[in-house]
Amino acid sequence: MLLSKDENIKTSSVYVASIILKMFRKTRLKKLTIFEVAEELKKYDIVHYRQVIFGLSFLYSTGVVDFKEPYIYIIK
Amino acid sequence: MDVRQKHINNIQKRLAYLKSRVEIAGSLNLTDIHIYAEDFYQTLFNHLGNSYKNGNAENQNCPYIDLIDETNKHAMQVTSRDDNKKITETIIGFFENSEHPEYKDYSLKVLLISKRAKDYSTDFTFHGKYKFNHKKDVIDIERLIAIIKDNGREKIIEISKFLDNEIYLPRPKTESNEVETIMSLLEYLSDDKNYKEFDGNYNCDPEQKINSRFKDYANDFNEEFTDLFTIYCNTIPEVKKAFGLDGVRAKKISYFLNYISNRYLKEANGNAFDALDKLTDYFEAKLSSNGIHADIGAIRYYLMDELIGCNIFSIKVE
Repeated sequence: MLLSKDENIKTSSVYVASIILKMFRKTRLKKLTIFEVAEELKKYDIVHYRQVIFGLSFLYSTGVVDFKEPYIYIIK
Repeated sequence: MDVRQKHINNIQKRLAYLKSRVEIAGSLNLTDIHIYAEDFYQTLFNHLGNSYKNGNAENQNCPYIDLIDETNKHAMQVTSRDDNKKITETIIGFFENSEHPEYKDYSLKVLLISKRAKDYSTDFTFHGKYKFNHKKDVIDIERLIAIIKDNGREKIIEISKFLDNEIYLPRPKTESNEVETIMSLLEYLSDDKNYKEFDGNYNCDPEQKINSRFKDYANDFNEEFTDLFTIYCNTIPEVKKAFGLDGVRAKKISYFLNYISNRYLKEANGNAFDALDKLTDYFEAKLSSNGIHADIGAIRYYLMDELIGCNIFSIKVE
């Protein structure tokens, strides 16, 4: 189950992941720093570290991104 | 490193607070706290690998001595006085105890629970007659913290948790009471210690649950919920946002609430209102034990909200 009925959809891992992917599309870059991602997420009121981690974990577990500190690489 | 630092800070904070309390109580001649302090420090030193027993409780006739560790041959005087006279009396009284000649081999410690150890110039050994090195054997709270700090990470965490349970710090109120109550409830509910593993799902149908399964209590429930809603309706969304409620925490909370509520429902023979009362008392007691003056209405409203959200009294889907 990707979403819990008790959580806010706009802070769920899937939603956070979608914002990060939009960021890759908008910037046309292959890599982003964790700081850039955190800065962008702030605009959507996503400020809790757990929400950011779950969003990134979702992208990593589906094989969309990989990490090399402090960068997040898109691999698909 | 962060974990170690966090727990050492906690240990420092709690022991410093206790030290100040003992000091102030002593200056007002309120000595109750000293008696509790003996038992407290006995347990604390036992966490550090000793086997102290309370010398008075064991009726071992040990004047000047509060704690005795026969296994490691240690003895300790727990005192709020730091003067030469007190230390000298303790040393002579202990080593010259005619009923316990075996104490001559013991290592004697003096624990100062409210004062700082001085730079003593007195010869406490009386020209080598007694084994006592004040630099090592007079332990003040600063030195005690240094002793704790010398231990491994696991031991430091163990002691930090022991102090959490033993010493409650006064908490500054930063939120209105209902916000703090629900915030603390969420913290308690999503704590890893309370995690109940569950493989499956709960049936989610609030309409059926309230108006059919618990139809005898539906009117009372609706009335109470309507009353509370006007007071607390904005609190839960506000708290959940500040808390950063995510999917993992939401699931932990859901499983725990369903587990504990169904246990109370069973104990109340299916009377949902009785079970809800007991559940309210249960959470109030949990928050009180953490030093929080809980707002009962807020707990009640939160539980009713979770009941509608099917995290309370729900049935497992087979």
